[in-house]
Parts: sequence; C-alpha cells; structure tokens
Amino acid sequence: MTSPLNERNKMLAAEQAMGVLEGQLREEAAKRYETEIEFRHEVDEWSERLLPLLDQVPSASPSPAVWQNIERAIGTSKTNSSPWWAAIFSANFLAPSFAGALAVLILVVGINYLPLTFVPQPTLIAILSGEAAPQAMLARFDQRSGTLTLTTNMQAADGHEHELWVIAGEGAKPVSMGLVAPKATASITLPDDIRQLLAQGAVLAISVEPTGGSKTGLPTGPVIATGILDLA
Amino acid sequence: MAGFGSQAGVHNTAQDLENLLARVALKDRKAFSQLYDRTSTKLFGVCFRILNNRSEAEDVIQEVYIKVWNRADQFATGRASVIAWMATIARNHAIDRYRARGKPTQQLDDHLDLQDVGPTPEQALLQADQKNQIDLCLDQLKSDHALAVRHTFLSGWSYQEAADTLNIPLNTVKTWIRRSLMQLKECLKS
Repeated sequence: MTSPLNERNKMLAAEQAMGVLEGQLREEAAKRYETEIEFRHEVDEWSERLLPLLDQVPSASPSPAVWQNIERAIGTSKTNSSPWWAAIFSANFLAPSFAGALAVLILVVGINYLPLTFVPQPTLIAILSGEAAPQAMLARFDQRSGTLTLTTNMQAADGHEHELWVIAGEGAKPVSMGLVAPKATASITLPDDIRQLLAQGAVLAISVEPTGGSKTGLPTGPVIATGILDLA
Repeated sequence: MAGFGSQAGVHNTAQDLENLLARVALKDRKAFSQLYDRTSTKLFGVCFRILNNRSEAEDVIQEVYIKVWNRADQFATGRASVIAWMATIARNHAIDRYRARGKPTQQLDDHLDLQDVGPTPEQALLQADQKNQIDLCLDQLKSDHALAVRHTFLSGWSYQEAADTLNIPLNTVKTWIRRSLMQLKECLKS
C-alpha cells in the first residue's frame, strides 16, 4: 500500500491543476502525474473542481485546416502498432498447451512490465487485441461496484456471437462472462463469484460462438482477441 | 446466459463523451471526429484565452488532439471526466507554449476588464449546478482573492505572472491562492 498524500503534496497537486507552478517544480509535478496514481487522482479531482470556471470562457472555432492537420498526423503516426500484451494472443483455447503457455507469458510479462509496487485500486482496465482485430475492445472493471463496462467496434458474422471469457490465472479454465453486444458500449454488474476472478493479471478473451453462446461452458470457436487486466 | 445488452436510457453528455473516448482508445476515427466536433470549440476557446493568439492556439489545439488520440486509453486510469481530462491537456499545452515565449505579451489592463470577470446573469442561468456552486463558493471569498483565482486559472498564469500582472507581492499571491483553494474545496464539499 502507498500512504495517502500528505498535505504538502495535496497542495502541490492543486497547484499543478491550477497551472501556477513553473520550471522544475512544474516538470516534476507533470512527471508525478504520469507515474504516481495517488498524485494523479488528486490532480484530476482538482481539475474536475475547477472545470466550471472554464464555462465563462467563450467558445471559438478553430479553422478547418486544424482538423485536416490532425487527421493527417494520426494517419501517419504508428498508433496501430501492437501493444506488448498482444504477444499473448493465441488462436484457440482448445490448444492443450495454451494455459501453460499463457502462465509462462504472464510471468515473463509480469517481470518486465508490471509496476514494482502493488497498489490496490478500484478500477482495472484491459484492451483486447488479436491479429485480425487490433484494439478490438476496451474493458473497464470497477472493483468497488462490480461493474464491467465494455466498448467494442466488432460485430460477429451472421449466425455467430462474440462471447467474453476470463482466465483467472495459471491453469484456470476460461469462465464465461456473457455475450458481447456488437458495436456498442454496455455495462453489466457481475455476480460475486465472477468478480473474484477479475484481478490484476487476469486474461480476458473473446471467442466466436454460435448464436446463444457456447453450449459446453468452454470456448468452442476461435479466440479472436485477448488482453490482460491491469491497474487503472 | 447473461448478456451485455446495450445500456438502457438516455446518456447524458458526460456519458456520451466517455463512450466516444473509449472508442477513440480503440482507434475509431469516426468517434474521434465526433469527439472533435463536440469539444474543439470549447478547448480552442480555453487555449485562445491563455495565448490570445489565434495561430498559436491552433497549433496547440492540434497537439492536444493528437495527444488525445494517442493517449485515450490512459483516460481510464484517471478520476476526471472526459472534458476535464481534455481541458487539462489543453491548458497544459497552452501554458507551456505561452511560457516558452519568454516575456508575457498580455497585460491585464490591455485585455481584461476586472468588472467583467463573472458570468452575466444570463450565463449564470444557463450554467450547470456545479458552475453555480463554484461561483457561490468564490463569492464567499474576499473579492480580491476570488479575482486572483479566476484570472490566474483562466489566463494560465504562474504565481510569478499573477504577482507581476496583479501587482501584488509573490508571497501574498501564493497565500491568497492557496488559502482560496482550501476554502473552495471545503465549500464544494457541502
């Protein structure tokens, strides 16, 4: 556990949200915003508090060239490169060695990428990707309320549906969390037994199933995207 | 089997923006275009208020949206609403640009009318509850303290710039703003 921010750091967060810091202090605060979740949340809370002051600033339209430049910039930037956890992608859960391989990969990935200190936080997120479906789905899990919110651009072919699974860890079987609404943002409040499976490091996966979902309790079709739940 | 049905009911704007940003995190260009349409006039106004220069504000707004595109997945790790998150990015970029100029190019008496800072009665009516709340809270502060907070935030001033422009000693400005922020926080809780 990290200790809560002391009064001095709380004031620093407020000052960063105000924008009154300069020079090295401002740079340090900006860096802490990126790297310290407690500090980041404190700054965010201040940004939210101060936001209504901006209501009195008159809106104004930038010239159309601005949007054209933005479009050009994002068209050429390498924003679609595969994220690190895409390496975990596997064609099918039915491959017998999958669970074992997954465990090894999680371990390797864990050593390299997970934060060194574990800080329990109420929200976990995962971006699910696969070879044919880069950045297919964003999952946000609010541990406090047990609500899982999914946003996806995908739509299954006729006669099929996408089913979401969680693999809690090494050797664990995939557990279904339900069918995924196509091209939508949707939320579901999960039952307690499923909530317990959704911890940092758990893998989420989407499989293609017949209409109505898998009848066997395990994925029967190809897994098209996976992602790891990580601290928000 | 339980399914993820689409959310029932009408989304408020904040929820709409959150859904759009989630799609932007998935590199949905159409959603990004919609997000731009809904937010760019506000953010451009915020940048322009700090920079007071159209061309620079346009440069900054480009940087801001490219950052939003690249960092949209990071939004979920924060505590702010979409618009607060984006406004923070916009303010920070504009402030950095403003300070990179070196000397301030705007003086208080050139561009601002101190009597004109608050919302007009019409604006006040149109504004959301929280806006009214923060205005009510600012009204409880000493008027020169409230004014320092408003101007400093809207102009993107550092403590030093606030001291220079308002012609108040640096330590006095720091004390005013810090004390005001603490009082605002308490007031907004209630």
